[in-house]
Amino acid sequence: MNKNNLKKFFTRSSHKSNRLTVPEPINANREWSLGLVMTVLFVCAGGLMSYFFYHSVVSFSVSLNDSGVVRNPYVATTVDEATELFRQRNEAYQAIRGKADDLVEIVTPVVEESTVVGSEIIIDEINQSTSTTTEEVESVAASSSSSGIQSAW
Amino acid sequence: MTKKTVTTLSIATVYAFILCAIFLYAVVTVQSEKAEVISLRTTKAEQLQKEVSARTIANTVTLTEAVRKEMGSYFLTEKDTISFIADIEKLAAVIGVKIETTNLAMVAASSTPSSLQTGFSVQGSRPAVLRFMKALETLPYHNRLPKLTVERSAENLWQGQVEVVVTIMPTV
Repeated sequence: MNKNNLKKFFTRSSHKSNRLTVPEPINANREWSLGLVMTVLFVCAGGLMSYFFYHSVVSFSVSLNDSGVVRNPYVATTVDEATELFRQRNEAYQAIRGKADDLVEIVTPVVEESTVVGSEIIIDEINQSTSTTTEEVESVAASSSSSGIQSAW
Repeated sequence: MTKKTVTTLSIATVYAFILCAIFLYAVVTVQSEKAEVISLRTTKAEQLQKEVSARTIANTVTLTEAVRKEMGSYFLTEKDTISFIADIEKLAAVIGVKIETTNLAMVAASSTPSSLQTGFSVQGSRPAVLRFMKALETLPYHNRLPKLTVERSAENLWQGQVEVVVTIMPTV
């Protein structure tokens, strides 16, 4: 390659590189690619938006207002305790009353005739049945029998 | 732009607006439907809760019939007050004490159930008075004894004062 040819080559090359490139107004590949990318972007954005919207619609919690609901007020343990307490009281009451009823059955005819005889019988009755009464009543019975205060029994 | 391009663009724009409008309408409709669904579900849940509660109470009422009957016997009703006093007087006669009713009043309050306030003056031997007091203490009724005094008034004669407040069960 001589000097002239080399110069001609560089001149052509430089001229070509400095040339202003004019883009083509319509490039099918480019437009289609752009269109596809935008479509994919729109579809993805729409999908995401729909997904979040769906979840915002579907997922909700129902908060209940308790004001209209009547709670069950029955507490079995409390009722059982109360019932047991009343049963015990009733038994104690019936024991006291029953003993008095027994006494009256014996006392009534005897007292009319002789107070002393009637009292002795009453004391015997009490001593036989004190196992069901309270300690207080027993002590009272014992003291009354020992001190001779027997008319009340 | 050519005329065909403008026409196509216009039609595409109109379609886009129409689609956007449809989309917005759908969103608004879904939101309003969601509010209605929440309201209906809340109502349904409340009804369900009430139903469960009512069923539980109905079961409790059925199961506790015997207990309620028993507990009811431990409460005085308004019509039982006279027989209650008569019962106390009979108890006094059975035990062998003289009794005098010093107070008898029905107290009604808005916050608490009404109650029968009674007061008795008891006279008799010490064991009999104590026994009567013990009997009053163990009365099988919902009651309280705000005052109870026993003192000797004479030889072998004791005197007691007692106040008994019995709860009156309201009639349903």
